[in-house]
Amino acid sequence: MRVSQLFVICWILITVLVHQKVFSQDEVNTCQKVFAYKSDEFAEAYIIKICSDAEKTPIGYESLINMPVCDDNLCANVILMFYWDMAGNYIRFETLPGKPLTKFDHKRFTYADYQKLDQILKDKNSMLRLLEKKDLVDKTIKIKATTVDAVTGATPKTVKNAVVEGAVYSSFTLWHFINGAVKDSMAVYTRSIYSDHIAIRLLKSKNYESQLFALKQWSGKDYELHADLLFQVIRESTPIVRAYILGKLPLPFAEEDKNRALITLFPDLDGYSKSIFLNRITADRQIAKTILPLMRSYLNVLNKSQLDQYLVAFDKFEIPGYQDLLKELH
Amino acid sequence: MIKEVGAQSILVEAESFANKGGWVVDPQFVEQMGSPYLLAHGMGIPVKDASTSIKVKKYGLYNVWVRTKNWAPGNWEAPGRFYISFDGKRMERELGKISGWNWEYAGKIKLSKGKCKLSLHDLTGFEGRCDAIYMTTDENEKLPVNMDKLKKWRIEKSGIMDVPQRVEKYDLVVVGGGIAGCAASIAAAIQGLKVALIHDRPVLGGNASGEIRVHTLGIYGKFERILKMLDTEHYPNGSAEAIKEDQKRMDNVKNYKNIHLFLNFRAFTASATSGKITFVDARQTSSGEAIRFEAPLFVDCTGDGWIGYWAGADYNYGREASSKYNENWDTHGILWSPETPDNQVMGSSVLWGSENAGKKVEFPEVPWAMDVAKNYASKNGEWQWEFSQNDLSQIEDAETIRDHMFRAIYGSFYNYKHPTMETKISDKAKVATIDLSKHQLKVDSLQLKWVSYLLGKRESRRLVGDYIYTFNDERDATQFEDAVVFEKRAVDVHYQVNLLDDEKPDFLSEAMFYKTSQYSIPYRCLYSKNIKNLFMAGRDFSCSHVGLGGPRVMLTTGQMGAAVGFAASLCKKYNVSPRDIYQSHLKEYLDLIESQK
Repeated sequence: MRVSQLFVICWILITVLVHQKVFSQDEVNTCQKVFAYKSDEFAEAYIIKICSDAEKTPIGYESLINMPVCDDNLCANVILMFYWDMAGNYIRFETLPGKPLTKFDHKRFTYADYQKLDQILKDKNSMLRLLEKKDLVDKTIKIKATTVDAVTGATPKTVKNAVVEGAVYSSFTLWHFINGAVKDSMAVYTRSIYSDHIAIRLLKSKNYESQLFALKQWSGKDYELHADLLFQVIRESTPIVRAYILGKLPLPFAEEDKNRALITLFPDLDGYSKSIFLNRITADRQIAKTILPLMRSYLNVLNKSQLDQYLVAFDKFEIPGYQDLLKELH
Repeated sequence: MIKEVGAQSILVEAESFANKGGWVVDPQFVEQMGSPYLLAHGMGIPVKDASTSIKVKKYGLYNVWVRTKNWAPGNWEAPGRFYISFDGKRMERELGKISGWNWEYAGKIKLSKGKCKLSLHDLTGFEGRCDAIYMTTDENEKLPVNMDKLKKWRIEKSGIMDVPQRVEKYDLVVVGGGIAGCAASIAAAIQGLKVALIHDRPVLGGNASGEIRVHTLGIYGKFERILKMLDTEHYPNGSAEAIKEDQKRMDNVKNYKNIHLFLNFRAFTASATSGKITFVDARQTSSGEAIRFEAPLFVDCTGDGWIGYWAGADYNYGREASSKYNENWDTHGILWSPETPDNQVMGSSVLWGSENAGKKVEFPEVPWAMDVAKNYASKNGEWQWEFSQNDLSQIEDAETIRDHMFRAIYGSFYNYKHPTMETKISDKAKVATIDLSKHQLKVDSLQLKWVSYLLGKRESRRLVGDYIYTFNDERDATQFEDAVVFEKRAVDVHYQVNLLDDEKPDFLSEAMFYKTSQYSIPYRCLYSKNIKNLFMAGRDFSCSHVGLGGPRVMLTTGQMGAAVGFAASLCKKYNVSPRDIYQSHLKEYLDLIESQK
């Protein structure tokens, strides 16, 4: 098999496997420029486009990046198409045909390298946040390139895990681009065109940050209006998102059915969400009076201190049936 | 120790056993469960017997009760089972089987007048615990369960006085012998103060000690000379290298003749009158001997802020709403600082590690650990092994937290030794599947080398000073006229990884780093706002949850200690309070600190 054939297979694999179904090209109908992103960190301005589906609902942003990453002229520019969701959260990148990423000494990225780069860009906690470009190489150790008449520094051991080996500058530069202010610029633009369509799409995504972005834009009225969707998010999302929703829901709901539906979620909640929810429904008289009686069928899922908390609130807010409840539990 | 016997009853505190065998004294949870206790910390191998001699005054048929706890109750055999014996005669009932601290009935035994050897026999090596043994000829005696009644009852039965008979007077009393407490003591001693340093462990260093093994981080600030006597190398957390640093630290502290070291003494009360502490009482963790420490000035280096708490100092606990001090950081949003206050503080770690035994070594099944460990496997635990939960207090629920970590450790190690297709490897906070083909041969000979039984806490009570240090001061590098502590380290706040994925273990954490330039901490964060003669240094200094994120490491807390020690010397010189140093003697104080380089 020729090298070029291998590359094509690799490129297809990357497109299919690394990229998730969020913001798939099948969905995209049109993309148009919304702003040029420029920051002090990068010499050039990058054109950010917004993409919409056939119904003209915005589904995300894209930008074609052609970026120099090296100080020492040993590597080629990085040329990539980047995709973000409407909250400005990075989704994926694609290479352009004939423009693979390369490492030190012009070696092409392997499939594993592309995967690792994707993971690096998604890792907000990467130690790259703490590093400056000068920290990336130990200038005292020189490595000679075979194809170019030049030398470059070695990557310190502590940095190695945070970068694609042999592509330390690319990893660093792209991480700072993706995790820098470009994200905020997109979020600002999204807020200016915000709609329920965008909100619902973000809430249905699996990205907790995008879900939180959407939840923060909504008022209590929106929470009530979209309660069913939010219950679904509570069922499927992460503890931090669940707890956020449970802290924000306009309780008690005016509709009894919604209160009941909410309580059915309780047994399957994680510990953090349970704790936040219990604290809320045992702290406020009005919420307690409606919600605590509905919880009676689920007392078997409470641990001892949670049950104590429940009973104390039941008693404190003089909710009818306290003595019967004690007898029942006894 | 020989116990005198009353007419028909004998109370023996387990921690006072003359020969502790392989059992260790655990004084971490006295405030919650009432006493130091003996712990069979054998990492799965039953520990050697503990024994002591008792003196029986009167022949009789004694009912024997043991205060103990099943620390992991469930549908399995209790993990920490043991039994007791008298002169080698075993009491039949196994103990450690009832959940919660309680009196368990061991049985009846005839005891003759005279000396008798009482022994504890560990059956599992898995953290059995014994607080006290009580023998009574009264069939119907009801033993106290309620903590207040239990306390009075203990005093009555043991004859140990609640009010110390021995009173010691010092210029400065430092409670807590971690890096901050040691630095405070040395700084004050250099200036000629007579210092009492009270610490509830046999070695100094707290989280940096060979008992917990966290390396010191941060910079020396103005106190390089003092902190180099106390710090550690940058070995991996959990490394046995920490033990040799214990010796260095102990030698250096002992070099100061006016530091009076009270090791294995745990403070149990502080009394304040008109907003001023008059004394701190502390008790020896094995013998129960109590000493009253009187001084014009006190330093709370307990980490948990106990001295301040007992004296009535204002304090904070938990995470503030981000709006309270404007501490939001968009990048990490509510993981960094919540919209509404909660108790999801940074957690406690229990470090541990294993080694190659050079031969095949079995590790027993640990069904009681699997609810926690689930299908995660590991052979050691670094700082990411951390546990915090919104409804658990790092102070009041500390034993539950420690025991949760025991289950995480033993269950994960069992999984590492017995992997299946479902087993996941916990590499730091990242989780991946295990490669069975490469795995098994390497682990057959693996055995646990060391598991700490002491919690390495990050965050607990934060006493309130004249200034509350926040994220703003780190982010904006606020310039303070009374800056005494300096740090460059990124602000580093942790969250539990299961907040983002509830399939992940609840005992692993991840760090969020906010990069800053050098920032400084003002002296006003190091003394209490409402207790006139109380300093604090360490994680209980005056700060917000996020404000703690940067300066919580031990060279920084050591700087706090040293700064406090020097301030105390000026308090003595002018017979003034800590606040007066800021208000009236700041220049002299800063000059004194500057001269320490």
